[in-house]
Amino acid sequence: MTDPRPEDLERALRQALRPVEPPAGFDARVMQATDASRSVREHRLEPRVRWLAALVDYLRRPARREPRWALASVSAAVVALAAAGGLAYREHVQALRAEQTRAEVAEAMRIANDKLDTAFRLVAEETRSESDRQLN
Amino acid sequence: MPADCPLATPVAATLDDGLVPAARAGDRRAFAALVRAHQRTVYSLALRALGAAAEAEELAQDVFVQLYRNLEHIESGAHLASWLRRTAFHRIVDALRRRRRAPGTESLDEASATADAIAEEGNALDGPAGLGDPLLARRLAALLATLAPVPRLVLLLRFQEDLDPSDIARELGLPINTVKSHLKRSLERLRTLYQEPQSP
Repeated sequence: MTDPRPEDLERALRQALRPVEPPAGFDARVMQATDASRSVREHRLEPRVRWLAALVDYLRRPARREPRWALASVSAAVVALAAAGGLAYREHVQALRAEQTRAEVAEAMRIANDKLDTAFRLVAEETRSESDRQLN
Repeated sequence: MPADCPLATPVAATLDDGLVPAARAGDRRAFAALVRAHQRTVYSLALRALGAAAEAEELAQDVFVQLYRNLEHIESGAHLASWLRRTAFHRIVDALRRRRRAPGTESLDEASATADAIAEEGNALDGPAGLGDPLLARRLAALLATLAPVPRLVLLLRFQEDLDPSDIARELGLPINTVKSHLKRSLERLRTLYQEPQSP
């Protein structure tokens, strides 16, 4: 072998190390692999926590367009609003149930009262009839 | 663009700048275009470093699947190219170390087999004329395979990807003097080995 000059060796290396194409269909196989990776990832997540994972993913994105603290503040505000809304809704439902219970109790008392009235009336009528018969 | 992101190929990086946000938004065709644009780089690094076409293809595929999972962290086309080279580098070093071979102990015979595989890959695409002197290319590839993992990859980034030592240092997180030292020693070693008579 001849002794290559430094620049010759570097030129030869550049030529020998030219990038080569991967086997045909490489990109299609990569896309299939990413499909499989995506479906496995989605399958692992319960539907109820997917929105949470999406939120976490969003917050983990590099803060290029919006400052990260702003995103965190907006997220905190959304969570606080959701919590407050949930609490208010719960109180509203409880108030409705109490009102309904009150109405049912009132209705029951009214029915009971009517029945008592009827019973008193019948007893009174019976007593009056008995008295009339004795007088006659 | 991040500070650790050299713009080695401005035109390609500019083209990727449009594809990266689309791929991040879930556009599968944009992601496929990014794969096609960078598959040569990743596959060639893996092939030259590992010497086995099947292993190189598997590693390159893993790198792109990892890219797909980390698209939200990619900020630009230049960042993408840098990220792919860095990820490929770490995976290749891991793969080479898993082979449990002491650095620099690959025999010339084994290296020659590696070079044959690489030469076949290159010739299949370009034809023998495409590599200039095919014998020289084969011999250099065989000599390259005798280098330890990190110097081998440094040399590949220098002469395959045409990166400056400062860019290589930034991408691999190595001190610039270490990169220069690897390059100097590796070239000296290649030159020395090159002058030795070849076994029949």
